[in-house]
Amino acid sequence: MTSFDVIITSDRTMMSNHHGKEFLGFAATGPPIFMPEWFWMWLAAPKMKVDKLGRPWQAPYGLRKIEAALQDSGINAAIIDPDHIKKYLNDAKVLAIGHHDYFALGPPSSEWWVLTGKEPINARSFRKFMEKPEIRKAKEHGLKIIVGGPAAWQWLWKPELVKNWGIDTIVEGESEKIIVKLVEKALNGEKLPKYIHVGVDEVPSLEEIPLIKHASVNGLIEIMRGCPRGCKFCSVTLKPLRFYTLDMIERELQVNVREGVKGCILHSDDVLLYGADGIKPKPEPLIKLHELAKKYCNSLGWSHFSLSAVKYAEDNYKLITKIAEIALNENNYGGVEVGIETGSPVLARKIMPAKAAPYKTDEWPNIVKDAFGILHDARIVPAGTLIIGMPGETPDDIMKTIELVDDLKDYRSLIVPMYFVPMGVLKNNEWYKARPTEEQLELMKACLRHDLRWIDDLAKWYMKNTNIITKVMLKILISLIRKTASRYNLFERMHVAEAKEELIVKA
Amino acid sequence: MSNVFIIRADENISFNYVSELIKDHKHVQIIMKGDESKALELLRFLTELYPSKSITLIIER
Repeated sequence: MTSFDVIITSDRTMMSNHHGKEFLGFAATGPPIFMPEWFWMWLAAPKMKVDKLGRPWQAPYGLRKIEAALQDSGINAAIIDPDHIKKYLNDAKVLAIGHHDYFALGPPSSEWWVLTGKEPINARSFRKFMEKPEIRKAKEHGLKIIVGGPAAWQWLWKPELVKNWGIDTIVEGESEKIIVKLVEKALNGEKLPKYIHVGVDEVPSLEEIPLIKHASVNGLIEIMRGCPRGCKFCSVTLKPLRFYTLDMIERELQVNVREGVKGCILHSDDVLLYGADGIKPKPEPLIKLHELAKKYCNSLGWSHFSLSAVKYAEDNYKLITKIAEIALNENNYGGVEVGIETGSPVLARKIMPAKAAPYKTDEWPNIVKDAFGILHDARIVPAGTLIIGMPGETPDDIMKTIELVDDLKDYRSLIVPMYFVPMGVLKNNEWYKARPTEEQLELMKACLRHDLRWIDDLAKWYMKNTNIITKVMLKILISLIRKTASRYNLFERMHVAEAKEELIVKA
Repeated sequence: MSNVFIIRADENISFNYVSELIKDHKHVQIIMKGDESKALELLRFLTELYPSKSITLIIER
């Protein structure tokens, strides 16, 4: 019988391709609403197709990198679907787990938790996974558990679970370089460190980043690491910039195509900075990148653009129009996540002084509007995030953001407020009982109004190639949200000036 | 990894004292005796203060 020394896995909310629709995966960051938990789980994170060994067809890109690093070093490791780990745990020596949001402490999970008072399903699903009897039994027989990924920091806030679930090592940061030594130690029965924080000197160089060997979820592939903008709320900015070569990108595209994944999502914290001159996008590398990706993929999407790069690229080179022409099929839209964060230049100066560069931070609201207009014309749909509750935020900052959301109403887009939970608050086990301020709630309502204005048009496009049950359920869900919003008068629009006056009086 | 600065401590060590000790070192190893949750709390404090440093925690029983 086949066995693996190292099992790499995660819970179902991570090990899913979300019906081939990345954006549906966000439903896993909320609690079930208007439907039972099992159905919500199916909607957000259906089971992944597996081979006869229980290896998933597609797996999270980060886990694929760890798998590649271990296999390249000759270690007998594989990603196994969470429903299939039982048959390997008797022989495995290491269980390696990665996650985006183990305990729903990051946005947007934390926001849904605060707003609904209910624990999101990603945290519920992960807890159920960790409490599987087979893991407990394997732990008693000496299995070592290593946890990592973008949410590794959350374990430091859960010492009781580190103890109860027998977590041996927590790895925070880019771990491709250190994971091999760590696993070798575990396989040799040596003592493991409890926690490793990978500093900037220890991140892998471009040559040390392994290439994935099997398909990633929805064909997502990385094109670069790091971001030079230095925003205060983002850890990516601490990493050095590394651009993948086109050859590396092509080899990962080929892996996905070979294993039957027809779409591709180009991932970086700002795709438009691929091959850039500092923070100024350059046409040649971006056009080559998109032509290469389109050669292999039916559909092409992007993880993130920065809005100042959108404006710069279009104003100087008509580059957004050009890459949309390459990437998008006729009569289709493309999607991308963008960070609006705030409509207040005052707050922008405090928390993201270089986000507007090469333009001035004082121009930030106009940059956002221009960029949304450019994306609208290019048939690219931005999902814009706002950060609310940042330290130093004032009611006036929120009003400026409400004004900006109002100004964006004619641009096809979604706007999602992200509720910032300061780390210190997490010490309190009932942190999620904190209530947003009236101004923050007003902003959330403005976002909901904006989204409901565009949702039918977007749902028609986004759900075009999904199964009928998902389509019908989402239609019902949207209609229930619309009815609920209507019942609570969320559509009743206060004039911004009046609202500002009222909020100032209340303050 | 070269030039690793190693600290041996117990759970009563002052967080500020540790942060002062490691401030000029890029690679730090902390070997700690005693309460594991206290050690994780120290790491929370240090990684927020020094997000670019490489820090390894070893718990000694």
